[in-house]
Amino acid sequence: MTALTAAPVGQQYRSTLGHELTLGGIIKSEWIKARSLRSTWWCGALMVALSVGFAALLVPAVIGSFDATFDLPLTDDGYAISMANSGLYMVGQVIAVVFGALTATSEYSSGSIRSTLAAAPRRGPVLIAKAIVVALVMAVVSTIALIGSTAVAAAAITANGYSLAFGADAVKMAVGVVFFLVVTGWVGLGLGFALRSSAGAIASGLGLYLILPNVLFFGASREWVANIIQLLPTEAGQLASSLASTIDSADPLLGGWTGAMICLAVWAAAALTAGYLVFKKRDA
Amino acid sequence: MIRVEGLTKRFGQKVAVDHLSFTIEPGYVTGFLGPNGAGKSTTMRMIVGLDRPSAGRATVDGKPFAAAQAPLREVGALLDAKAANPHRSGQAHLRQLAATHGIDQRRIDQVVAMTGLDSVIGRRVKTYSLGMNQRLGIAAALLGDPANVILDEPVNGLDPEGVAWVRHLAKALAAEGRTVFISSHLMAEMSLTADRLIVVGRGRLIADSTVADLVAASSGVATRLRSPQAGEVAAALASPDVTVTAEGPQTILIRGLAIEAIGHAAAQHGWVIYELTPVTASLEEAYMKLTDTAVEYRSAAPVPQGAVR
Repeated sequence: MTALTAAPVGQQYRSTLGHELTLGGIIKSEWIKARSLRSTWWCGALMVALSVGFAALLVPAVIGSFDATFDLPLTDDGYAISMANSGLYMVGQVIAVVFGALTATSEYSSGSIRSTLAAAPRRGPVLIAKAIVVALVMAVVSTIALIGSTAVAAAAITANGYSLAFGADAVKMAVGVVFFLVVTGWVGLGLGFALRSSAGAIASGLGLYLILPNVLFFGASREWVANIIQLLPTEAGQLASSLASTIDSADPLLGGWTGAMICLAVWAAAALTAGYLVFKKRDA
Repeated sequence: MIRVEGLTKRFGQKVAVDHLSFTIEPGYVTGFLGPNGAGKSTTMRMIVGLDRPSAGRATVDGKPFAAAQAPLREVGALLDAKAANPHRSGQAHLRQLAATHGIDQRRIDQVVAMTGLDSVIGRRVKTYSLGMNQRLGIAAALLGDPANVILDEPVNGLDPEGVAWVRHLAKALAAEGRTVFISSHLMAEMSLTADRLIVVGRGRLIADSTVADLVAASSGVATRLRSPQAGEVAAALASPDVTVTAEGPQTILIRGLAIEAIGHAAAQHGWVIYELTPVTASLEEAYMKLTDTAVEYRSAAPVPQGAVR
């Protein structure tokens, strides 16, 4: 027989560390994860560079071609933001889908989901923490991009002799585009958890944002198809972030800015719920 | 303490783990042995809640792992060497894990030093060798100073020095009163490391015992005797309770008779004895015998030379 040199049963080891798992800790952990990957910085840098670059190329050309006699809302409240948004909205949604999706799928492709769940075994808090960090990154990055491209647009507008106006509608537009990109990040995250494959999640996210509206457009003469188009996140995002939102009857279904924001929130909730259900039910 | 009760996992039609029940006591190194595909990893994954059991339950210190207030203090698990994002540094990997429980940098530095990763911890994980990955996984498992340590194939990819290090680490952790549960398909290593063994094959429990008992039970105690009069000895000792088998022209294997009794008989009969030794099977032999019918993937008979051109 071997000598079983063991501490008597019952004298079990107790960890000397006094720390406990908290949601705050998981959020901090997710923040370290996001920060420590180059892809996060690339996504952020791309979003800022492309949207500012887009504004720098396009806005002066568009405004330069305007004729003051032509009735254009150049001096409308937040017009500079509206111009800036057109690039940010387009570039931002692609990057937000990719960033959100990768936040979930990179855990599966790298195998790090195992250590993540070994530290925080309950799925709900992990998903919440990831959603908070995705929102934080998207909000900060899109705000920087918005300020940069608005500055470029404003410079072009004033250079052409028009005055600027920033009022309540300007704020709504700014909040709208930032929220649209946060929601888009969440849609990517939800799809990432639901599909677990980077290619699958990104492809279906971009399909929803870029392809589906164009496909449905062919059937837009039918009312129900037109209604579906109105409810897509891209349309709601457009309404929430563009000058059209200042006219509260612009959209028969969503009404205006508030309706668009609610519609976006529903999309986020649906995507995150789908991701959560798969995350909880399927083996990691 | 880790307890598994009626634990079952089905993947479609295939039963990976089949009503497994056992208890892993603190203070010992318990080896988890079985051929590839026997359900060892799946069992460990169910203990830490990565996989959901089809039936039965697994508890750590009396409750499901997911219910732990401080999971990293309850269980330190190495489930796969590749559990860190390759694009992140080892340091960042440990930092993000530590952050979940508010564990400070001092403890991170401790486990890094303990696993000998000091010189590479700032490098990105994709530059790590398999052995470094294992060490990082072990560092991560020890981060919370856990009461239970679960290591799935920890010596894979380690050099001999690393293998010895894991062995000493496992024994030291158990000596502190921790529950140490290590899976392996390498019997030789387990016989050196483990006090107790759980052997599984095709998802079923084959043995739950100490290393010594397992070897003894499987081999039966036998005595090897070498003598020019081996034939005479065999004839004299043979009885319904004693079996004698020939191993060579002068060598026989006697079962069912104590070695002392054989010695006395030899003196009585005046036999010339060259060798009289107790024979125990190695753990490896015991294991092969136990899992013989439970091997899932068996290599086909070797291809005769010249058959493949």
